[in-house]
Amino acid sequence: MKAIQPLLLVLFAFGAALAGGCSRPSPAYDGTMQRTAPWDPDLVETMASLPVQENGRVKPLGSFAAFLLYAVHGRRDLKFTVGQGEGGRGEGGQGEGAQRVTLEPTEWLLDVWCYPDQAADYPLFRIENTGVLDALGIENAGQTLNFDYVTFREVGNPTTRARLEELADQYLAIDAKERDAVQEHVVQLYRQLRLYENVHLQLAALHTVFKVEGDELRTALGGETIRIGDMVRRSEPFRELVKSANRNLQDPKLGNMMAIFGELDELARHAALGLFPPAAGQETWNSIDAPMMTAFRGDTENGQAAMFLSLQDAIAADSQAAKATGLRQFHDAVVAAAKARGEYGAIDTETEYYRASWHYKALHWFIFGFLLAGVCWLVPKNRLLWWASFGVTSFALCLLCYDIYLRCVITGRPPITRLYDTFLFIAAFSVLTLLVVEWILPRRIALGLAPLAGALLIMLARMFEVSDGKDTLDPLVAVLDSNYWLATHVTMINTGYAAGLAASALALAWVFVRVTRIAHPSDALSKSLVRGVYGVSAFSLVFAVVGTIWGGVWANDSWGRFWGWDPKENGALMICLSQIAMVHARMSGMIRDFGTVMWAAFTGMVVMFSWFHTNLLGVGLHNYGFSSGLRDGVWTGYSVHLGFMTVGAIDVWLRPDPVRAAAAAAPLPAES
Amino acid sequence: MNGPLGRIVAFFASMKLAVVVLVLLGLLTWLGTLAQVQKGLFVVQKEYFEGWFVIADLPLSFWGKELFALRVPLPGAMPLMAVLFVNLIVGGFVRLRWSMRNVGVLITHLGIALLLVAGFVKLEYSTSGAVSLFEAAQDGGSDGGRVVRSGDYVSFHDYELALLRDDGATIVERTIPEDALLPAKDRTVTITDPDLPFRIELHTWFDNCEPMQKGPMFAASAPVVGGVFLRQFEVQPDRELNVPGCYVIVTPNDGPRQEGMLWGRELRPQTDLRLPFVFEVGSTRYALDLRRVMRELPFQVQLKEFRKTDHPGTLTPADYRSFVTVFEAGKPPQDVQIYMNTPLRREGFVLYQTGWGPQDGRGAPDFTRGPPWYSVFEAAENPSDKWPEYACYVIALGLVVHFLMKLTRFLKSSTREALAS
Repeated sequence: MKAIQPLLLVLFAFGAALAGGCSRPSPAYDGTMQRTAPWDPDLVETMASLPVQENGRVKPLGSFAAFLLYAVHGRRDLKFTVGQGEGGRGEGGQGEGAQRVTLEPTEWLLDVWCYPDQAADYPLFRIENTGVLDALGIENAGQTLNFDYVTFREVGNPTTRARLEELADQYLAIDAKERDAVQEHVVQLYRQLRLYENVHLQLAALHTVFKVEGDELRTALGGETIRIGDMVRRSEPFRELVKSANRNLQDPKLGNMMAIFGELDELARHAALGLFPPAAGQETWNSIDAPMMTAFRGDTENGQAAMFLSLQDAIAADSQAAKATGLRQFHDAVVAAAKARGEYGAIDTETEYYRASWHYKALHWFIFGFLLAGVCWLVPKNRLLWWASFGVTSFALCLLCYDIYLRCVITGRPPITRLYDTFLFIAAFSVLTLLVVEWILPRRIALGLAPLAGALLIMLARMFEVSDGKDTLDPLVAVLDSNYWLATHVTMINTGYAAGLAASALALAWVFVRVTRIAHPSDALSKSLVRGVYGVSAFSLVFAVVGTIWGGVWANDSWGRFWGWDPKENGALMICLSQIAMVHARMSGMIRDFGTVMWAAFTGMVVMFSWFHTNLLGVGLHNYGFSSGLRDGVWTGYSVHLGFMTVGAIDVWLRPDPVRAAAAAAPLPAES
Repeated sequence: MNGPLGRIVAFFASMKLAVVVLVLLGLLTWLGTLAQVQKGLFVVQKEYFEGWFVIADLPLSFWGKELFALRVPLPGAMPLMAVLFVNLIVGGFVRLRWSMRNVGVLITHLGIALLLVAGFVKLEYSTSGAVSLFEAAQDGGSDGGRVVRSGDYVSFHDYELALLRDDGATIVERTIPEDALLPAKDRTVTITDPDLPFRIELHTWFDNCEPMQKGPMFAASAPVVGGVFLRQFEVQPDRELNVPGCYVIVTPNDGPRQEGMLWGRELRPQTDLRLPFVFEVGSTRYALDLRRVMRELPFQVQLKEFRKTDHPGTLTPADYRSFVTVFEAGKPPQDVQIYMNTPLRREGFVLYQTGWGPQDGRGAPDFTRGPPWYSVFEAAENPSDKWPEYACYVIALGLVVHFLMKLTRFLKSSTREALAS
C-alpha cells in the first residue's frame, strides 16, 4: 500500500496545476453600459419564476433563459470585463479599474429585453475557429488558444447576417458528416443566431417609438410620438376614430395608421416563447401580437391588456426602478392568470431546483469524498477517515437522489425520461453499487471509486446539457407517454448499465493495483476486487437481462413486435450476451481472475456503446437523444478502457503472478 | 455416458460451446448494428439476423473517423440460436445437477428456452401488415373513393403476383410469391400451368422503379412498351420506400403475344383501386397484379375519427388515437379506441396505432385548412404473442433467486471475512 503514497501526491499536485492552468481571461465588453447598477437580486429571483410557455410546457423564465444561454453561449452564465480592455479580440481587461461582470441567465435575459442595445454588445457567440470570422469578414488577430467571442451587433448586422445565411445555406447542403470544422461551425453559428434573434427581437415592438402623422390620429392617440402602450391606453378614442372613418382604412383622417400597423406586424413576428396566458379554452400562450390586438379591441376579459401594459411600462421606463416595478406587476399578473388556469404547477419547485442545483452540490461533495478516500489510502489504519469518506460520499449520493426526486416531481414522471436523466440516474446507482461493495468488502478501493464515478458522471451530465442546449424537462413524445413502462423497463435497463459500469470501474482498479504493484494478484486486495467485479457483474446481469426482455414486451405491446434489431435494443442485448458469456466462461474455467476483470472492463465498453454510441449512429427508433456532443465522451471512455486493458495485458505477460510463478517453478515433492 | 454418443452429448452440453456461441452472437449483433447505417434495417435483418451465413463488414474507426473496413465471415443468427437452444436444453437441463442449489439456474434456463421458442414461433408462424384508413364521411356523405373500412391487412415488405380471372360473376385469384419472381432481375422467369391457356414471362425486374413516359429528348434505360418504360431508382435502405416493377409477356397457346409491365405501387388508403396488366385470351379477361401480400382479418374495422393532440405551441404530438368501429360476424358493431401502448386484441389478432398522415392533415370537419387525416394500424397475428412476457417473469424469478442465494452464501462465508480484513 505504501507504493501508492508518492503516486497520489504526484496526482494531487498535477490536478492542482491543471486546475490553475485552465482559467481563462474573461472577454471584454466594448459597448456602452446603459444599465448602471446590478439588477435587484429580489427582482431577478421573482422574474426567474415568471411562468412562460415554450416547447409545449409552461416553465419558469429562469429555465428558458438558462437553456437559451447554453445553446447560444455554451455556458450557464455570461462573464465579461468592463473597462481597461487591452490586447486583441476576446481579451478582457486585467488592469486596475477593470470590472468583472457575471450575469446569471435571468439577469442576462432581463438585459436582452430591457436593454437590447447593451445586450447586443455582449460577447455572446463563442468562436473556436477563426476561419469562421475570416469567412464572415470579421476582423480578428488569428487563431489563439483562447476562444473568440462575437456580439449580436457584429454578427446580426444586415451585411454579416446575409453573408452568414448564404454560407449556412451552402453548408447545410453538404452532408453533416462531410462538413469540415469551419463549415460545421458556420452552420452552428447560424442556428444560434436564429435562436437568439427571436428572443432579442421579441419585445422590439415595445421599444419602438412611432411617429404619428395626421392631426386627427394624433389627437386620438395623444401625441406626435407614441409607443404601442399609448395606443392601447387610448384604444377607445382610437376605435371611435376608425369608426368615424366608416372603417375605410384609406381615409385621410387615419393618417399613417396603416404604416404603423405594417411596422408593428413586422416587429411582432418574433415569437420565441409564450408570455401571455391565453383566453379560456385555448392552450397555446401568446406572444405580444395577440394581446396587443386584444387590447386594441378593448377586451379586458382575460387580463391580457393589463399584462401587456405592465410589460410596456417596464420596457419604456427610463429608470431601472421603474422597470422593476413594471416587471413585478407583469409577473404578478401572469402568475395569477397561470394559477387560475391550473398551469402554475411546479413552477416554484423548478425555479428552486435550478437555483439550488443539487447535483452540482453533489459534485462538490463527491470530489471531497474522493479526496478523503485518497487521504484514507495514505493513512490506511485510520478508521475515522474511512467513515468520513463513506459518510461524505453517502451524503453526496443523497443530494443527487434528491435532485432526481425533484425532477420526478416537476415532470410527474419516473426518474428517466430522456438521455440527460440517464446520466444522473446511472451516476446515483453506480455510486450506490460501489458503496455496497465497499460495505461488504471494505478495502478502500470502492470507497474511492464511488465518489470518482459520481463526480465524473455528473460532469458528463453537465457537458451533455451544455452541448445539447435543450431543456431537459420538456414533455415527451406520444410513444413514451407511459409511466408504467418508463418506471419498469427504462429504470431496470439503466440499473443494469450502472452496475455494468461499476463492475468495469472495479476491473480497471484491479489493473491499476496490479500494474502499480500496490497488490499482487494473489493478495486479498486483488482477490476482493475480483469478487466485487464478479458480484456486481452478476447483479448487473439480472437487471440487464430482465430489463432488455421487458423492453421487448413493451415494444410488443406498443407496435406489435417483440424484437426489431434496433441499435438500442441490440446494444442492450450485447451487454446481456457479454455478461452471460463471462459468467459461463468463468464457471467453465476458461477464464480466471485476469480474464474476469478483462471481460468486465470490455463489458464496460459495451455498456458505453449501448448507452451513447447507438445514439450517434443516426438510425433506429430510439431517436430521443441523438447528440454529436456525446462523441468525445464515448471515445474518451473507449480509449481509457482500451488503455487500461492493454497495459494490464502487457503487465500480465511481462510479470506473471509471482505466487503462481513461484509455485510452478518449485520442485515437485518427492513421491512417497 | 461414454462412446461417440456421449462425446456428442458432452460437446453440446459444454459451457465452452455456450461461451463461443454467445461471443459469436454478440459479435454478429454488433456488426449487424453498425451495418444498419449503410444498408438499412431490412437488408441487415435478412442478411445477419435471419440468415445462415454472412460476410460481415467490420468498419474500424477511431474518434468517429473510419480508418478501414474488414470482411469477417460469420455464421448467421439462425444457426447460432439453434446451437444455443440445443446447448441450453442439453447442458442447462439434462447435464445440470438438479438440486436446490441450482434451482435459480434451472428456472432461468427454462425462461430462456421459452423465449427462444417464442422467437422461433414468431419467425415461422406470425404475419403482420398495415391497415390504413381514412375517417368515414359523417351523415352518409361521400368518401371520395378513400378507404374507410377494411377487413384486410397489407404486408409492409413482401410482394406477390396475383393472377385474376374474370368469370363474370366472380373473380378467381391465384398468387405467386415474391421469391419466385425475383430471378427476373437477371433472366426471364417463365410461369406455366396446364390449367392456363397461356404462358407468362417476366423479365427486367427492378427493386425500385416508376413508370415514365418516354420522351423524344432522352434515351430510355429499359424497354419501352406503349410509349412507357420503367425508370429504375436507387434502392433505398428503408425497404418500404421501394416500389418494385418488371416487364411481362403473355403468350397464349394460340394467339399473338401481349407485352406489358407490372408495378407494385400501393395506393391505399387513397383508393383501393389497382393498376394491373389486363389482357384477354380467348373470350376470358385476365389481369396480372404485382402487389403487396394481402391477408384477411377475421373482422372489419372502420375509422370513425382520428384525433391528434399536440403539445401546446408545438407540432410534437402529445397523443394520437383512433376511434374505430369493429364489425364481427354475428355480433353488433362495437366502438373502441386504439392508441399508443393500447392496441386492440381480437380473435388472435392485434391492431396497433402506428402512424397517421398526411403531416399537414386536418380532422373533420376542418378539411378546408388541409387534407383529411388517415390513420395507420399495424395488424399482427402471432401465436407466441404473450410468451416473451411469461418468459420474462420466469427469467426474472430464476435470476433473482440465484443471485440472492449466492449473495447470502457469500455474506455468511469465511471467504468474505478473509477478503474484507
